[in-house]
Amino acid sequence: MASTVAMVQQGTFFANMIHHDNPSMDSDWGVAVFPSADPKLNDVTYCNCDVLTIPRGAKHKKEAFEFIAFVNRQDEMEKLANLGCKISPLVKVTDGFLEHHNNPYIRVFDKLAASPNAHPTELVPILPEINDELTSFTQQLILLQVTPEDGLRQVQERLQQKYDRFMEDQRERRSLAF
Amino acid sequence: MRGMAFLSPWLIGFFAFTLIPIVMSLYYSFCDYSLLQPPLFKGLQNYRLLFRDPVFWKVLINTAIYAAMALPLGLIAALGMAMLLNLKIRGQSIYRTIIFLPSLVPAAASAMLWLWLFNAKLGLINVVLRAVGFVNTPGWLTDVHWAMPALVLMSVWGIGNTVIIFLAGLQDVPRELYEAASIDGATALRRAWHVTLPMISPIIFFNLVIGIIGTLQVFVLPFIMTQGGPARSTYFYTMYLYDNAFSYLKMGYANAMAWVQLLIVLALTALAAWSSKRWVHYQGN
Repeated sequence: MASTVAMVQQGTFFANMIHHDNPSMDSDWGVAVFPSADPKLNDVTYCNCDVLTIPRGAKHKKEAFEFIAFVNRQDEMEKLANLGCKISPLVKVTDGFLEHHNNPYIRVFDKLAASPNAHPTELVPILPEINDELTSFTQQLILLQVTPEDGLRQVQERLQQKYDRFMEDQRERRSLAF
Repeated sequence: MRGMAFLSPWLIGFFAFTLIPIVMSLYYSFCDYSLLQPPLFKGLQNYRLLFRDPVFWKVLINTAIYAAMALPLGLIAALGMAMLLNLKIRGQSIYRTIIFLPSLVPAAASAMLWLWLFNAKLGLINVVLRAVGFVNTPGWLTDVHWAMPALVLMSVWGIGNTVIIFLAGLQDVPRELYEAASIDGATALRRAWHVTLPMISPIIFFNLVIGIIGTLQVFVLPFIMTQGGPARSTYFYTMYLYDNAFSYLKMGYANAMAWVQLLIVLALTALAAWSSKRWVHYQGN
C-alpha cells in the first residue's frame, strides 16, 4: 500500500485495508494461494475465526444468547462477512453472496477454507517464542541479511531445540508426579 | 522489644519485598519454573543454556553498544548543559526549568512523541533534514543501521536529572580557585580543565555509576518504540529478560539472566570504583 513491496501474506480482510488506506489501488491488486513447503499439497492454509462466548457469571445470559443467535443468522452473518471482506463461516451461503461480494477474490479464500489442507493454528506450548523468532527472521529477510533457506533452517533448529527441551521438562515433571 | 516494634514496618518490608524475593530469585534461577507449575530444580541448566543462546549474546552486545554510546554522550551533554546553565545570564531559572522539564514527562508519553519525530516520512526530524537539502533521509527506527543511534540520541532528551546534579556540583566549586587560576593567567578552557573538572570529579563519578546501571537496564523506550526491531537491532538485555519472564513464562531462565546482569553491573561498577582512585578528587584530599 506504500508502493514498496510487491506482495504480502495476508487474510481476506486486507481488501478493506487496501480500500481504506490506498483506494487508488482498488483495481490494481490480486490474490493467489500461498505455495506450500510440501509441493504435493495444494491449498494449504491456516483458518482461524472469532468466537462469541457467554462468560460464566454473565448477568444477561438470555440476551447474550439471543445476540449470538442474531449474529449467526445467515443474512446477518453474510452482511457482516461482506462488510469485512471475509468469507462466511456458515456451511451454506445464499445465491449471489460470492457473486456480489465486496472482496473481488472471495472465491479464492472460500476455496481455501473448504480445502482439506486448511488447518487451525496449531496449539504449541512455545508459540510466543515461535512468533518472535519468525518476526525476527522475517525482518532479517526483508533487510536481505539472510537467505530464506538459511534463515528458516536456523529458526527451525532453534525452535526444535526449545520445543524438545519443553517436552523433556514436561516428561520429567510427569515422571516425578508418579 | 519496643525498638523492634518501631522497626517492624521496615523489617517486614525488607524481608517481604527485598530479601525473600532476592533469595527466591536466586533459587528459581536454578529451576524450570513457568508460574503455572511448581518449580523443578535443574541445577546449572539455565546458565548453561544462556551462554549457548545466540539471542542472549545478541542482546548483550546490543546493550553494550547502547551503553558505550549513550553513557558518554549523556554525561558530556549533561555536563555541557550544566556549565551553560551555571552562567550568570538573564532568564537563568527559565532555562533551567526548560532543560529539566523533559525529565518529568512519563516515558510512555516521550516514546509516543519521539515515534512521531522519528517517523521516516512525516517526522519533524526528516522534514527538517529534507528542507536543508538532505535527499536520502534515514528511516530512523525502521532502519537497522539508524535505530540504535536514534535511541541513543533520544536518551539525551532525559538528561535533566543529571544536569541538576552537575549544576549542584558546579555551584559547590570554590570561587577563589577560579580567581587564583585567573590571576595566574589561565584561560576559560584551562580553568574548566584544571579547576572545574577535578573539583566536580566525585559528581562525574556518581553520574557515571548511575549511568552504567541505567544504560545496562534500558527497557521502556525501545520496548514501546521498536519492540527490539528491526531484526533485533534494538533488542536489549532487559527486554529479552522480560520476554522470557512474561511472554515465554520461563521464570527460571529470566532469573538466571537477572543474576548475570547483576554480576555484569557489579563488575563494571567495581571497575569504575577502582579507576576512580586515579581521577576522582575529593575536597580535602
